[in-house]
Amino acid sequence: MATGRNSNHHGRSLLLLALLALCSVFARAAPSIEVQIGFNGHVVPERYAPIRIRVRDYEGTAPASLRITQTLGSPWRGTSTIRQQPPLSIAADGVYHTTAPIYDPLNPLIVSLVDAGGTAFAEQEVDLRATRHVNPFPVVYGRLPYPLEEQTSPVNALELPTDWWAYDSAHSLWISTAPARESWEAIARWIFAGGTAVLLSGPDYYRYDSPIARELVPLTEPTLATGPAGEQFLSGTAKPNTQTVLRRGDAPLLLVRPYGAGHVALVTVRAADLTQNETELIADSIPPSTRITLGEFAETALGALPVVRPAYSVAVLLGVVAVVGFAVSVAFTRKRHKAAVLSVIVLFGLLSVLSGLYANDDKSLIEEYYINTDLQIYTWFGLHVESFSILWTKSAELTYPSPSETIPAQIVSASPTTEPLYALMPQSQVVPTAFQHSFVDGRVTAPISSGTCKTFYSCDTSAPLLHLAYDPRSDRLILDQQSDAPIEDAWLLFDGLGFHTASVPRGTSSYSLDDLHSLRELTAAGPELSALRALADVFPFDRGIWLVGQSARWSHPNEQGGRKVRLLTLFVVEGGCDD
Amino acid sequence: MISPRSILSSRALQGYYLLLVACGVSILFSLPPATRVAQLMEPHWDPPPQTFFVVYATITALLGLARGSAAASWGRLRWHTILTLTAHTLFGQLLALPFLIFSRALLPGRDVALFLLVAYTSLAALMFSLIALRLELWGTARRHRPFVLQYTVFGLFLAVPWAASMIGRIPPIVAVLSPIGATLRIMQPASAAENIVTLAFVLLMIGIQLLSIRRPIRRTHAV
Repeated sequence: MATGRNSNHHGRSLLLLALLALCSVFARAAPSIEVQIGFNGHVVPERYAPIRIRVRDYEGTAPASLRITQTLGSPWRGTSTIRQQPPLSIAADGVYHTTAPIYDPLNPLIVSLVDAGGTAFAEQEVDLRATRHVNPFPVVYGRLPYPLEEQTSPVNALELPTDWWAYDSAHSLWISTAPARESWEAIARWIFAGGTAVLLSGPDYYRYDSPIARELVPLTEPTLATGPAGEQFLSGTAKPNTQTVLRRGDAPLLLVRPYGAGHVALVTVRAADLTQNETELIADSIPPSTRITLGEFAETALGALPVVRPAYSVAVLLGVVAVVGFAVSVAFTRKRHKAAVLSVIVLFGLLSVLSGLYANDDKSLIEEYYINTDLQIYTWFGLHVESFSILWTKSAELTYPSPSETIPAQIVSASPTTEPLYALMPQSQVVPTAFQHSFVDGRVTAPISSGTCKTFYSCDTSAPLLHLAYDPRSDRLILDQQSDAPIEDAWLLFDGLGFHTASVPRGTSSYSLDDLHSLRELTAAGPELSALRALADVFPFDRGIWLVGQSARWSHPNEQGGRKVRLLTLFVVEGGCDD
Repeated sequence: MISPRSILSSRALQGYYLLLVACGVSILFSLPPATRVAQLMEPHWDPPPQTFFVVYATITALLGLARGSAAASWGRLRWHTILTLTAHTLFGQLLALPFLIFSRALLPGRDVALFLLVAYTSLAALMFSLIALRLELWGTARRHRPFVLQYTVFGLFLAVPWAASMIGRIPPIVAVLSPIGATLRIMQPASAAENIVTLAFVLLMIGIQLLSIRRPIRRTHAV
């Protein structure tokens, strides 16, 4: 009996074990994500921020997408929602990077993993209230002996973004450790587009040495030197346009050199050797980062477009001819009834034909005006800043394909939604509803109220398609143009002197430096909305070799005849000297 | 001497002049004054392009009302009277034709809607002319002129359904009972079902009016 009871007991245990084993086979951990936004969570409203997502336990059969949902405003000010879907395909566990504009970090952001049907199966709410900044802040990679004002905790190598526009919220980037190659390239692009980097290499420069570091650092062939107190510092021949901004004794301490639209600052001593006073002086001496959005230019160009509509004079003429013609025909033929009616039929038939000939598609009232401004910047790399502005003469929700795959950022329009009373606050916190939009599957959908303009911009990288060089032997500028976009108006500049050329052919062309005019003369003589005028304050065209070009074309109104589209392409090419 | 039932009678001409002037002025108002897009971004109010279509539909309906009112004094009521009224209405449409073709530039790509609007306004004008004729006959029998009543009915038709459709609880489709609401709906453009309801309502009203004035016509023939 006992044996039978035992075997029964064993049988139950085995069954239980088998059940547990079966459960463990079918049960698996739910997918989860861990999200980090900004530099250690630090963000600035209405600026891009790097986003790092760690995906765990994802075993989906199809790639998932990422969805970022941002809520703007409050019940008192009104709320709006922004949905963004970065061009990421998440197929397995791992770390994924993307860059997205953050609008109102006072509200939590929701980052979700969504399946092909748009259903979220993993999400994380990110609270950025405690780490939000109103203005750009210094970002430190490596270590500083003394913290900077508004400095965040230093970022590590994994947190250094590889998208150049991800540094948008940085006032300056302080580098005291050599970054990885991808990050170096992104930093170089960001500096060229208006960023400011402070290299705190000092005598440890050789650890940084790379083609990018040599391109950026304001010294040619840096060497080690020893000061009177025995301290070591970096020395060398300053590159053109480099300024010695601070000195320690006789030796330069801080060298600043413009690089594209931005600046590279070199601290000649080790970061650890800096005093607190010197650190503060450096922080005060470096120019802040700027960003090129061309939003104002795009809106001005949009505003300059002619309104397409039938002419008033023709409408008046039609009314007058109809009334007078009717009166005359009736007066002369009224007593002959049939003749009168016939004359009116002939007259109004003729008027209808003429009216139809006039009111063809070219004169149809346009409800939707769109301008796309593509700024292509080339040096030894290429980058794009593409902005598009839309104006709709009535209230509607519009959907547009975004010119770039990257998530576009909406910028504050010059339209009346800007509240002067809240000039110090980010606009997304003042008028949240004005920012409502979504970016899903590469398309921007935004409600637009009548007479207001919405402007978005996005950034991207590209290969250098234009190459400009000065040949000292022939005293000519050699331009190699491989871009598909034609260049219609171009200005070639050599140390602030240059000339205008009507078109730049595809392929290689050379230009003599004979009839040169000053930059001011060229800017004044050019059209009101020229690339040269728009970018003269952004890039140092008065120094070095540059090509500034532009082309404009109209796209045909769509079949419904309700849209007018202008495409502007601006080119900025920094040249070098062929030795 | 020009017959009062002539298309070129003085009263008829007044209506046609009104239609021409109203179409001319409203088409001017429907054009935005801005010459550059920047002016569209400034705070301003422009009459929408639909202004012309609303004015055209309203004046055409008013013309129908005036012609229907006048038809009571054309003598014996016969089927020919109804045909004459239709001819007067269509003559008004002929006069508005150059403006209608010009108006294609105001709302491009809506030629079908414009065609429907012309059909609708023609029917609406006939409907109002029959209503006016019926009221005029009713008034004549009682020896007083129903002038105020005619224009009150016209005003109510024009405004009440359209205004009522803006009240939350009332279905928006009610707007198509008014020439203003129907015009705005057609030019939006409306769905096929809405267009059918719009035209069916006018046809139904015309049918009711024809049925109700059939008796006086028969009586006239009997006399």
